[in-house]
Amino acid sequence: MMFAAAIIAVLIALTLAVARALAGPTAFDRLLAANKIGVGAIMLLALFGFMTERPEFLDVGITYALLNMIGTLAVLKFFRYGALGHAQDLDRDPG
Amino acid sequence: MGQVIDLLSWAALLGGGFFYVVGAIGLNRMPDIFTRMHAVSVSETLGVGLLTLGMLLQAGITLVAVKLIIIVAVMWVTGAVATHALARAALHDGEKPLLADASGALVATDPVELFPELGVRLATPLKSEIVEEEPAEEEAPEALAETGYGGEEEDANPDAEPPGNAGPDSAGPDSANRDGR
Amino acid sequence: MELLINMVLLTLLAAITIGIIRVRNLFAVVVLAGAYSFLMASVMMVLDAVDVAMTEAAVGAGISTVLALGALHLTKTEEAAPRYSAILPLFVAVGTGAMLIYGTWGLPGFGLADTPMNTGVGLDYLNRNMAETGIPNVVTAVLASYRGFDTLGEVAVIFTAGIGVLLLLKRFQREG
Repeated sequence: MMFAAAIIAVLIALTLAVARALAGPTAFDRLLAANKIGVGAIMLLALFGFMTERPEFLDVGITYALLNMIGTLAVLKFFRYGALGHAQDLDRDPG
Repeated sequence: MGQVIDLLSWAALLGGGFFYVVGAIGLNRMPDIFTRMHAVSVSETLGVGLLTLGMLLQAGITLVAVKLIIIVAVMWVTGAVATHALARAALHDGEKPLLADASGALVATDPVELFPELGVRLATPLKSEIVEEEPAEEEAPEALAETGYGGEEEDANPDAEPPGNAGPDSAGPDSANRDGR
Repeated sequence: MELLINMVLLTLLAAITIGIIRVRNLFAVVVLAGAYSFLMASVMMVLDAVDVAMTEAAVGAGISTVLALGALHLTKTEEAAPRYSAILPLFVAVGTGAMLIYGTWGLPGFGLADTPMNTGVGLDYLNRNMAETGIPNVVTAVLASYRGFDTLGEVAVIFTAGIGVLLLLKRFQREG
């Protein structure tokens, strides 16, 4: 029951985050919202596991947390340098 | 005892859900990217922390609790890093934070005008970003070899001769300077 | 409760899909696709397909984002305006969707025990698995033991695809 209440809160937050991801004027707003959606997915996963009394699948949550970070940093690195490679490649290649 | 834990768990889960929604509302209500980041950080630290605390109380001391703690630790660390990178990338991209001017109205202000040292910091590459000069591929060995030899010869002379000269030489100018002054 | 979660998540998925279609900036599309993946993984989680959820998150939010960004480096970041009218593609898509929905009417109810998939070979695997392989997770047992060679072939295909993508995304250095 209490997990259901928390799940509803997370669902509301997810909806609001999706609204910002769709509206967000800059790409940074969308990225921030996407990051929050990722965290919301982890929380939803954990809470749902507890609600159905099978919380063994939390390992997936660890993967999500790491992937969330990787996705965010990849986009940010692309923004900063225009590529994902090393800084040395950038210097050599005007492309 | 079980009821006390349930009560605490209720409180933590409800509090966590509240802060989680508050962060999401802030994400929509705040005027610019930097204040939105601030709002989200509420839900990603306090909200997530309280929700997890509620789950931890229910899990007891089990393997599940360890997994939960790992998740929260990873999220707290990576969330802070990602937010920092986001702020830096946004500043670098020319996003202007909304700041209050003299009359109190919100104006998009270039932070570099207010804090010139911030501009210097943004323009200075991080240590990881500094590009090491890599010599062109074909000329590289010769150039390296030449400078290598030259350097050795130049170094060799001071190294070989100084034992006798170094003392007087270094002392000479110094004493001359002192005398002159 | 499951129904509520699924309804909300699927609605959000639809909203993000429309957003992906409407947005012209390809950065935004990549970011939205990442968010889509996380929501889709949550749906899979609620449907009890933990392994699919894991794969969806790893492939959709992880590697796809990175590969799409790598491809984006080779093109412009703004999507070009469509050259042709969208009426014919819309017609085809709506027709396909209608046929798929019509097809779902023929499916048995979700999770029913007396359907062919739950009484035939699936039950057989469930009964024989523990004695033959000793792997507690039946999905893993089927993938890695009963269909080991099949999985080996899949791994080879994925490896080849990875090499192909790496070669495509490699930036050729200018001569001189």
